[in-house]
Amino acid sequence: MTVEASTGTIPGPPAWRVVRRHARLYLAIARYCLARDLEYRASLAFNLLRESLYALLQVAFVDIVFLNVDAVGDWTADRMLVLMGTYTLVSNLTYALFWETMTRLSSVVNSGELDLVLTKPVSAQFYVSVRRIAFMNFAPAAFGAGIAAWGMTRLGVNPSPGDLAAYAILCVSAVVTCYALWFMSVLGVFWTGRLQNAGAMFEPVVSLARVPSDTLRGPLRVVLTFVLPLAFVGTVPAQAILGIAEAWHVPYAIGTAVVAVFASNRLWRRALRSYSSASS
Amino acid sequence: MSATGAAEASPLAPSRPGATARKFVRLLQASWQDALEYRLEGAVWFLYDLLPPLGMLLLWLGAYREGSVVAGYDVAGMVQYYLGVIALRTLLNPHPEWDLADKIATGKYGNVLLRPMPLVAYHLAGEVAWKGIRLLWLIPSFAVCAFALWPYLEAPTLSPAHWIAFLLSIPLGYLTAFFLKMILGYVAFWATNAEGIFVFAISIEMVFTGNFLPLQALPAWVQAIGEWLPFRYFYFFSTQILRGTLDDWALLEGLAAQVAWATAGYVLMRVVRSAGIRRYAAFGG
Repeated sequence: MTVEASTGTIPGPPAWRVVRRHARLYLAIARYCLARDLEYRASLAFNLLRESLYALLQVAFVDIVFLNVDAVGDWTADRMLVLMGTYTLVSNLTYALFWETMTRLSSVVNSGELDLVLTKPVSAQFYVSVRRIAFMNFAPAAFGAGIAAWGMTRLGVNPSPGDLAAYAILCVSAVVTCYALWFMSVLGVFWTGRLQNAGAMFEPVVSLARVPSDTLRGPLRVVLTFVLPLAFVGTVPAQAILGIAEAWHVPYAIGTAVVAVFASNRLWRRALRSYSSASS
Repeated sequence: MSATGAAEASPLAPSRPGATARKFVRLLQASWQDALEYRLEGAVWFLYDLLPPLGMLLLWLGAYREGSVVAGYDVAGMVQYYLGVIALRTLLNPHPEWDLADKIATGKYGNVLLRPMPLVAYHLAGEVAWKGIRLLWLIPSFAVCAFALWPYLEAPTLSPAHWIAFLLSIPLGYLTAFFLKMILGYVAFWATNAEGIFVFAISIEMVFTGNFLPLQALPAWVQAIGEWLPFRYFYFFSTQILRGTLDDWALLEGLAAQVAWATAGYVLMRVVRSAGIRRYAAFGG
């Protein structure tokens, strides 16, 4: 019986024990995934190289733009390095933690594998979201952090401890928000059935976060800041570490992450009510 | 039985051209039904054709100043370029390699080989049907983009020679991409991690097809490499015809290059496939 299903009917264990149990489970999953990846070292090395080259290419594309122009809005080439590095960091952290689970969720639902998940004594949403970690994506994430640091060095900006803390909070909030939005987009499979590639929807959408949101105009700027908050994936964290973020950014990002996770849980529960198993 | 048909079809296949055409149409209908059933999946893949170039366009729009020209494109030219890329890439960039590699890896390709029709026709029918679904998603998306970017748009004023060249460049570009990606898919006969190779290939393709940046905006040495590769003839050449900046000689040169690359791709595809099938015979029971 899942934690969600048992709430309100059987008294559950204290919250700290639930958190501890999930933390231990997560550590076990991480150890398993790392051992699995290390078993195929050549494949891991190839995938690390592939993902790093792909990230390098994404940064290079934007850098080439600056061979032709001086600035994009107020974003000079060095500032854009900070933005692109941040985007690469946040997007690849999200991929590392959730890519394999989000892209597999459709088949988990359609094959009836979810039945087994629902019988486990942990949060089903937690389990289906974290049970695979793609370690190969940590390499491009580190590469992104390096690009951002390089941009900061070229600009000669020394961020204050407050700016660094704001940057870290904004990046973590962005990963959490991305997870929640991605998870909600994949849940469509409960109703449509035939959407095996639902998990792939996130990648092209998040690519819009490479555009500095303050250069956008009209409704698109509002949509990408408040409705689909991609501004908080690249632009806003970059502004924070450059010391030009606004006071409301950090609390808004935290609030958005909390609301997005809450909404994803509500939608997950609703989706489960539509689930009638696919196995025999 | 024609010599071409006999060489192309699988050993059991009767290959009269009329019969092959009928089978192609039937397969096209079946593939269309299949694509229609999975239209939402088509919409997700369509996002890969739509959003990355759109993001780059938004970046460029933030970079343009009053009256500036970048890599030979004024702001209206850049908008038209990216809209052209979105439309042409959606319709002209086939992806047979993923299905091919999956069928080879899972042993299902044996069923394909036994089908009584030319293999190229079989794969082409499936790809063309899926492009039809992409077109259904492209039309409303393109209309929204065109509405939002209306001030930058103008109808191309082209000579009849340009229009003819454009119409010819469409199937030639498609076939060039199709044959080369079939070769890529056949790599799965030898490689266990074909998907990794595909991602590499996509990275190279993104640079040299002009998907993210017009080729004129790339550094000179990258452009020089691109001159020797087939990717520019997938759909970048068609976007340049629509710009109206190519003279008649450049049109002929481009079309000849497309024919040459498509022919070379077809021949090489058959060589690779023959070698692969000989190896593939070692698997299964």
